Amino acid sequence: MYHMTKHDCAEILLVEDNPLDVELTLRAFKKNKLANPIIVAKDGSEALDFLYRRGIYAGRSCTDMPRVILLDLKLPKVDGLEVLRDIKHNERLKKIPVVVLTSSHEDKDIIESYGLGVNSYIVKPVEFDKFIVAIAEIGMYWLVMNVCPR
Amino acid sequence: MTIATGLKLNILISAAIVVIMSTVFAITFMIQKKAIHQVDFADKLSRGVYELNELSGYYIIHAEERPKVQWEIRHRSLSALLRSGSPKESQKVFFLKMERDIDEIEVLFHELVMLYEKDVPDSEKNSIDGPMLKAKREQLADLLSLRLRGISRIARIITVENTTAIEYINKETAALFSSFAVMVLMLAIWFSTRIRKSIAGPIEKLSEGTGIIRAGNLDHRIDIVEDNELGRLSDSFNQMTEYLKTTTVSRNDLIQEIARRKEAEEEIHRFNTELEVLVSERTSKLESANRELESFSYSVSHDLRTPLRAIEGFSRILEEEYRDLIDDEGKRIISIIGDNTRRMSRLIDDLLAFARVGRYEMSPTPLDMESMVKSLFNEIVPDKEAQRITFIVHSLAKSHADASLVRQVWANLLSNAVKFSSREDHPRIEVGSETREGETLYYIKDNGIGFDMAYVNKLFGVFQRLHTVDEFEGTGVGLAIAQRIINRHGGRIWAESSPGKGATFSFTLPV
Repeated sequence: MYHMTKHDCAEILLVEDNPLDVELTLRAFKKNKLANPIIVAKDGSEALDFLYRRGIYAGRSCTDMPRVILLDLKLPKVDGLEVLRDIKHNERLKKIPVVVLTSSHEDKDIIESYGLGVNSYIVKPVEFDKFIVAIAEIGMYWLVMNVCPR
Repeated sequence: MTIATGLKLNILISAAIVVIMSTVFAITFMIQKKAIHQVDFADKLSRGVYELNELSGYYIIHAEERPKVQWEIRHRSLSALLRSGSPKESQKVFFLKMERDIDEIEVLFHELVMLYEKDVPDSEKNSIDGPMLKAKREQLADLLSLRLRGISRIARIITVENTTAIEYINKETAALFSSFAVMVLMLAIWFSTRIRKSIAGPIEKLSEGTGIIRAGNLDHRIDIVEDNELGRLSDSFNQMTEYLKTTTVSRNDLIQEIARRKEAEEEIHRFNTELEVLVSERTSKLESANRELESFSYSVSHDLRTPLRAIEGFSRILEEEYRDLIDDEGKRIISIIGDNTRRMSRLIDDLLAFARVGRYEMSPTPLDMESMVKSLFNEIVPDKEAQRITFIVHSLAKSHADASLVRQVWANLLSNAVKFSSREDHPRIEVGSETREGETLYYIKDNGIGFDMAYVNKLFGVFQRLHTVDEFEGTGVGLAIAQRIINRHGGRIWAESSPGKGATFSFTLPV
């Protein structure tokens, strides 16, 4: 569903299949006055299409990489860990910070994610207040404080 | 009497019989010989007397020189014969008489010869002297004949005497030999009976016994009571059988024992194989159950939270963004939704934590329990609450266990103690330990509301609570987790209390 042409050069790639979670996340960004352009991929395959500028994103003109990828783990088609593996095995993509943002804090997931080179692992709090705070901190940290190779 | 002695005795008796019989035979032979000799002597004597008588008669008729010479020769030999005779004591009188007679016969014959040789003229022959001479001659001839008849009679007496003696000896000898024969026969019968009784019988018993024992009956004993070599042989044989039985029995025992052990070994082997199969079956079942449980908790972990977050998030958004449109009741309802969503979230978290304890791979390390408890208290209890509580930590024994799991146990017990004593005016929490044999006991004691021991069994169950949520917060998983952790370490956990008197939670960890 590629229509956000203005976000050709999205700074944040949010990979999330649940539209309600997407809405809550976007609200949290808005609430925290984080106006960085966001593109949402609703599964792993779409996320990879965006990064590789293929499929529905084949015509994407912007060559800039997102500044951060927020990745859910449980996704249809290609799941989060596979997306992570792909990104971290690609010379160009592996410089992009990847933050796993998921409901689970299963040890298995945490260990595997770090094994693949994830930059951060955040468990989404159920409580809305805490969720808002978590999103605010992620945004502050990765978009404001963190310095990435250009 | 032994068989050897019996045999020796037998030889001795036989030898004695032979000697006695030989002696008897020799004696009778000698007696008989002597009697025969005397008969012969008497015979010769009679014949000599007869010849002398004949020659005397011939000489009287013919008065020739030749019969005279012959007579003298005969007389000399007869005299010599008589003198060579060896008379018995009883015969000596006869012999003396015969010797006298024979001498007298010679004198008589010489007188007769003189009468015939005296040169008497023929005239004179028919003279007075003639008849006188003739009478003289006849007288002498009669005397001579008388004497000769006397000797002849004695000779006949000797003959008769000795013939009788010979007959008697023959008869006696025959009787003696008969009785000896009977004796020897009886002896032979007695001896053979004895041999049969003391040798043949026992030998038969021995042979029979050997057969029985060879057939396998080692309890058989040979019953020979003879006091001889066979008796001793049977004793030795019985001893040998006894020994054989002992060795056979112990050997049989050994064989049986070996068979039993072998059987047991095979059984163990079979059981092991069965056990291995069972274990691998169970393991694979367990593994598959574990995998299912893992994927279940994974799903719970991921999927149950997402809708909760949506409910919580959107009800908050509703509350914030539509505040003006909702009345107080609406707001109360929204807050109920929020409370229960959070509660649901905590239940899920605790449930997952409980599941995680079972799957968690333990790595035991030395633990300083005292500093762990103290730092946990500071961590868990808010400062304001902590100031109210009298917290006593005795010197705690060190332990060797998984740090993060034991920390979880202490955290659960401590927060419980704080929670259930929070309503006291002066909350008091005391932690201590006791070193026992093979284990260390740790306890945490509070002066809180306690519980009824009737429900002690429910205390450690998952989601089991003895108080309502309104009274005390909690999901009822904390103690279940604590119990699971302690059990995994091989320890025990229990609680003691009575309502209003506080509670003591104790657990042990193996040393």
